[in-house]
Amino acid sequence: MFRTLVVLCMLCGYAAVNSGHTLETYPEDAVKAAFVYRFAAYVKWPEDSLPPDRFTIAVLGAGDVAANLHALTSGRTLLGRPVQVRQVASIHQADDAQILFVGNDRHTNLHALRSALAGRATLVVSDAEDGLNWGSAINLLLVEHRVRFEISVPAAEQAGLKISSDLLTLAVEVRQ
Amino acid sequence: MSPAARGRIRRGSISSVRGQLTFVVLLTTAMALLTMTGALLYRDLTDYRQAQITDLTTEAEIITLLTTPALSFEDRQAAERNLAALSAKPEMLTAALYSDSGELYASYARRNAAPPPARAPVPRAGVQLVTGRLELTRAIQRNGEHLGVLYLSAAYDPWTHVRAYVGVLGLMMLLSLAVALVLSARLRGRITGPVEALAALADDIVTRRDPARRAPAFQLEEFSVVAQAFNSVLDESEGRTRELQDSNRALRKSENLYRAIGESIDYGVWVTDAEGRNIYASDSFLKLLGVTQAQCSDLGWSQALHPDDVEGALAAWRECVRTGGVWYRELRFRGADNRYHPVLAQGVPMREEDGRITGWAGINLDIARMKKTENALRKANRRKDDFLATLAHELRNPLAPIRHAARLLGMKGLDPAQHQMARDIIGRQVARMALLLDDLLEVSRITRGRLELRKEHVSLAALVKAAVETSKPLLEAKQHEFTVRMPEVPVELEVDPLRISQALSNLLTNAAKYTDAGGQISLEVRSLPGETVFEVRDSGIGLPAAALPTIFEMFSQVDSAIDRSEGGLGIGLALVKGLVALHGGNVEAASEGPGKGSLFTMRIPGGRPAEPAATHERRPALQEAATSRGRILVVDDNVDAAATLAMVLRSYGHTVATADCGKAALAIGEQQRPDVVILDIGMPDMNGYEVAQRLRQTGWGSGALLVALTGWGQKEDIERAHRAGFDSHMTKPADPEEIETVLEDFLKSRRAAGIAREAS
Repeated sequence: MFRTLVVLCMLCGYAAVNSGHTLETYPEDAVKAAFVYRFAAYVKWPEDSLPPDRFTIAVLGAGDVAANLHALTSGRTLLGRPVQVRQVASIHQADDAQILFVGNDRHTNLHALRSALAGRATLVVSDAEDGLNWGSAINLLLVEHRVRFEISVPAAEQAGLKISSDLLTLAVEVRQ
Repeated sequence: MSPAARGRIRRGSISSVRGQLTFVVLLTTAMALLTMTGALLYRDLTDYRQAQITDLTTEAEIITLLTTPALSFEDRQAAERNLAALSAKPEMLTAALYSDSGELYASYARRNAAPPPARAPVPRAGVQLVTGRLELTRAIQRNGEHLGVLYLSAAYDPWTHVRAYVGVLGLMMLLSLAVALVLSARLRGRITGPVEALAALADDIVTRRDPARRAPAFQLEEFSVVAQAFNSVLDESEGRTRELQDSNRALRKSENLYRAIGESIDYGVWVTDAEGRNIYASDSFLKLLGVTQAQCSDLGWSQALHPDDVEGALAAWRECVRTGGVWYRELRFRGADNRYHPVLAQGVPMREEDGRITGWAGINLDIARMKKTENALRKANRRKDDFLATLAHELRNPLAPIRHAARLLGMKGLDPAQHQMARDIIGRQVARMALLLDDLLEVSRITRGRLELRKEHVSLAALVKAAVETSKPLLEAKQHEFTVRMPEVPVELEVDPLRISQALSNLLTNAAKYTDAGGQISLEVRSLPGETVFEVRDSGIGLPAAALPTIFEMFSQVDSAIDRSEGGLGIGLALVKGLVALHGGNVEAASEGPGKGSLFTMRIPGGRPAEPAATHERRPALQEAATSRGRILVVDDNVDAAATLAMVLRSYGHTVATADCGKAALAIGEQQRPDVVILDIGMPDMNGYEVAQRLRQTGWGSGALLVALTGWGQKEDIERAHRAGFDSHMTKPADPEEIETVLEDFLKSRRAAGIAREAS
């Protein structure tokens, strides 16, 4: 009897947790944070550009995305290194970061992108309509209310990065 | 191999070596193949499963790799696209991707395949084998982040796979079996070849019984060993067979020997069992009884016994069986000819080593001849007894008249006529006794083969005359009418005249004796080519037919004739037969029956017309007393004998002296110097031979005539007498006439010599 009760309680608990999850509305910021984090798996950084002790994700603007990233990456590693999520005030502050996410709210900053990060092996992920034009390698966009992305291979190459073909196939558009 | 053996050893049958070999080869091959097939199948199935699992796992890895980006970046179309690529793999049934929240994100299902679970299954390590398919559930993670779940399901049908495989294996098996068959066929040549050769050889030896056959050498060592062993067995068998044959031969030989011995016995042999039941009798015995072995078996033989013998014989036989004794009994068996045959059955018990009696074996002897001989002997014995009685009677008969006559002569005052009568009585009776004894001695000589014939050429007439002279007294005494018929021409015979005339006179005397007084007796002598026949016919008492066969046997007399006869010992005819037989002739008797007279026919071989020149008369036995007288000494320890002989000789005009012993003879002889000495041989002081030798050493005795007078008339006696110096030998009782003849001859020749001496 007691055993049956325990099993039932457990089942109820599980169902409650799961239902809370599924009933959530599309969490755009969380998806964007997840995307940023997941891109690392499909990009190859030059070995010498990587600091040995950390993998830094810099976030400019977009505080919600940064918060999500924080939550997502705490205690995790990328390329064998502990992930460090850092809010930056300017692009310049992100010159040691491996990934720089420029939030939608700060897309104007993008024009400084090229000068600020020239020669830096930093994957710039933008969240603006013309993000790629400003020199970001990956630009997030909403397609039918779902987060998608486009890629500029030359921008990535300029930063000395190599983007996996798996990622390329998933991109809405790939600029060569 | 013979057809019978080919029939026995069916090629390829499971019981033949060939069949066994093939069977074993096929069985082992099949077993090996089956084991191998099993192992292969197992291995293949394991491999197959492993391969399928590996395949599925690999597929999962690939799909994970492929779909991780799509899942990472929530690209459902890409995920669907990725999964759709699985359609290239026919074994993949279902594939599904679930989001990290467990909802179905993308799926793929082959046609007719069951749809994937609606919600993500719990990820598990490895691959699960569910009925007909393999399932795999994997969590998809990236950088430690749980992205979702991949579910794959692939068809798993090992049997379809195996089916094809089994087909191949079956083919392989058939092929292997075929190869095995071929190999076994080739093996057969090397292994069953020798075995079949040995089998054929064995069969040959058994059916053809050819002991010289031997197994050849074989290539294979084992078969060579077998062949050698076989040959040595054959050698030994041959040796034993030979031994057996030899011993069989020996056995047969000894069997033949015993059979021959058995057959040589009159009525063969017989065998009984331990209880005395006959189990075997020789054919000769069965033939005698006219029965079969079955009829003779047990006590069947006793059925043929003489009724008087049955009880006693069976009782004795039972007693013999009871005591285990020796059987010896004369039995009379009724033969197939319905006559009784005397058989002497004798046998002994046969014993085992422990002494137990296993039966009796013996022989049946034909004792018919023995019985006959026995009867004959008994008869002869009886005849001899009769004869002795008759002899005593016959010898006694003359004694009474002699005694009376002697007493008469001793009386004084007898007139000369009475003297003469007494002398005549004595002379006649003595002559009769002498005749009787002569006959006896003669017969004895003949039967002992001691009689020697002194054959000479004599005229038939002289022979007949002598015989008739001898018989005349009796013929005349009984006043028979006697006629003689002789051949018309003179005939000469080469015979012993004394014996033949004796035989003839015996026949005549016999006729006179057995014919009543005044009968008719005739003698007819005929000279036929090659033989001379004497027929004596009488009108006497005749002979019964039954007496004819035995009438010439010794001591035979016709019983009824004794009373009326003049007496007789029954040896007269036996003597005739013997004398005639000595001359190569024969004598027969014939009679038409009692009272009808009889005819005796004597045949002597030879006889031819006498040549006048060669004819000379035998000197007649009776002669007138010679005129020339001599001096004679008679020596005999029997004084009476000497005295009577002296008397007789004196009556002839001789001067006679007597001596009663050898010494006296020598003394008297020296004193009187006789011309003739008649010596008895058996004397107490010295025998006649010694006396003769001494006499011959004296001056007067060397020229004297020495005559031996003995009771022994054998040839040796005569020779001994001659060696001792005797001139002549005479057997007692000496016939005075014969002595006179000898004396006369001697004295005549001495006189002639004396005249010659005087003349010269």
